[in-house]
Amino acid sequence: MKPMLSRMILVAAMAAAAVVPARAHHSFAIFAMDTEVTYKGTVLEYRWINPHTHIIVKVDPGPGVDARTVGTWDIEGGSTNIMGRQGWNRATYKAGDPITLVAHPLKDGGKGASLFYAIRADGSRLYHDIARPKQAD
Amino acid sequence: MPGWIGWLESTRLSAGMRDITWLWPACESLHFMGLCLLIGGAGFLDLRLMGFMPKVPITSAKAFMPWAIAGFAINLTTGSLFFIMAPAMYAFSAAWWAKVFFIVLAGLNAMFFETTQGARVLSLGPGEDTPVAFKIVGAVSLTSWFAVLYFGRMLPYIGTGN
Amino acid sequence: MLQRLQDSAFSQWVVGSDSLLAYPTILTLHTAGLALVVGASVVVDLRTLGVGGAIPISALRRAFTILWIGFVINLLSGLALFASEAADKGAKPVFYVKLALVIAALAVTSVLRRTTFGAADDSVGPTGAARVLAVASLVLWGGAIVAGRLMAYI
Repeated sequence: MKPMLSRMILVAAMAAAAVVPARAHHSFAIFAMDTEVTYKGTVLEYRWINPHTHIIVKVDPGPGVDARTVGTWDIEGGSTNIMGRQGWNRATYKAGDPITLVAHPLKDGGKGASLFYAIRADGSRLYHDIARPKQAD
Repeated sequence: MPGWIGWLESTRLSAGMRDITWLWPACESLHFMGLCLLIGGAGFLDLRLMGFMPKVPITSAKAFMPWAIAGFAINLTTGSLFFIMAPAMYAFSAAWWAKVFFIVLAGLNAMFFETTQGARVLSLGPGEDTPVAFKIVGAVSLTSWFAVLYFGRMLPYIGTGN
Repeated sequence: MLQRLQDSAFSQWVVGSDSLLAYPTILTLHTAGLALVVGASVVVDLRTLGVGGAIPISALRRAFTILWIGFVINLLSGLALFASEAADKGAKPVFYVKLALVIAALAVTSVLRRTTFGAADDSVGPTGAARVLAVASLVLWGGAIVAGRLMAYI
C-alpha cells in the first residue's frame, strides 16, 4: 500500500511539476521565490546538515557572470533527508569545487538565497525538492 | 488535482500572505499553542476514558474539551493559512497526508464515542473502571493526536517520502 | 567552548546524519515533550482558574507526573539540539530568553504543586494568589513556545 501511495504522489508531482513552482522551505517568506538567479562560482563550504543544508559560494567577476551575483553567498537548501531523495549526498560537492546554482535571492538584498537546483557538469539538474520550473510558454 | 494547486498558489491571496514576512512564524507559534490546548484538553478526556485518574468524576472528563476544541480551531485556521501560502509543499507530501488521515481518524473516533457511548458515561458509577470500548476510544484518540504531531513535525524531513 | 561542543562527534551526528532518527526525531521528541508539559499545565492551570470545578483538586496530582516526564524529554532533547548548534544558538539572546521563561514557568508550576495541589483538604479551593500563578503559568509557557520558535528565525 505504501509504495503504491508513494508512486501515486510521485506521478501527481510530476504531472503538476510542469505548472507548479513549489515552495519546499519553511522560511521562504524572506526569499523572492518568483525570482531565479544563477550563481556560478566556487564552493567555499558545503554544509550537509540539518535542519538546513548550506552551500557557501564565492562568485568572482568575469565574462558571462551576472554582476549582481559577485560576492560570497549563503545558498540555503532543505533538510538532508529531503535533498538526499533528490540525489544529493554529503559528498556531492566539496570546498574548491566549481558550482552553478539556481536560487531565489533574499528580498532584502542580503547575500543569501534559497536553493532551487544545481546544474551539474554534464548539464543535468539536482533539485532541492520536488519543485520543478514552470514550463516555458 | 495539479491544476487547482497551481491556481491557488498564483492567487493574490496566497502571494499577498507570503509577502507578510512575519505571518508564517506567527502562525507557527499559534499552531504550537493550539496543539497544547488540544492535547491537554483531549488528552485529559482520553486518559480518563482509559481508566486513569479514577477520582475524576466521569461526567467531568470533558471539562476541558471546549479549550481542546479552541486549540483545534486555532490549528485548523493556521493550518489552512499554511496550505494557502504553500499548497504544493503540502499537497505532494506523504507526511502531510498521513497527518490528515490521523486527524480524520481522531474525528471519526470522537463521533463514534459521542453517538454510541453517551449513555454509558452516565451509568458509570464512582470508582468503577471504564468499559473496554471507552479504553479503546481513548487510546485511539491519544495515539492519533500524537501521530498528527509526529507527522506535522516531520514534514520538512519526510516530505514526499519518496 | 561552545564551538568545541558544536564540533564534537555527537553534535556532528545530530546535524549531519542522514538518518531520520537523528535531528528529525530529536526535534519531534522536543515537540512531543512540549505537548506533554504545556498540555498538562493547561489542565492544571484551568482547573485552578475554576474550569471543571467538580473535579477534586487532588485528583489532578497525576498531571504533574506527566509534566515532569515531558520536561525530562525536553531537557534531554534540548541538550542534544543545543549541543549540535551550541556556538550558533549560544550567541543568540532569544535562546536565553526561552531558558528564562522555562525556568520561570517551572518555578510557578512548583509553587502551584506544593500549595494548591498539595493541600490535604480538597474543600479549600485555589486562592486568589494561586489563580494569578495559573495565569502566569499559561503566559510563561506561551512565551517559551514563541521564543523557541523564533530561534529558527532571529
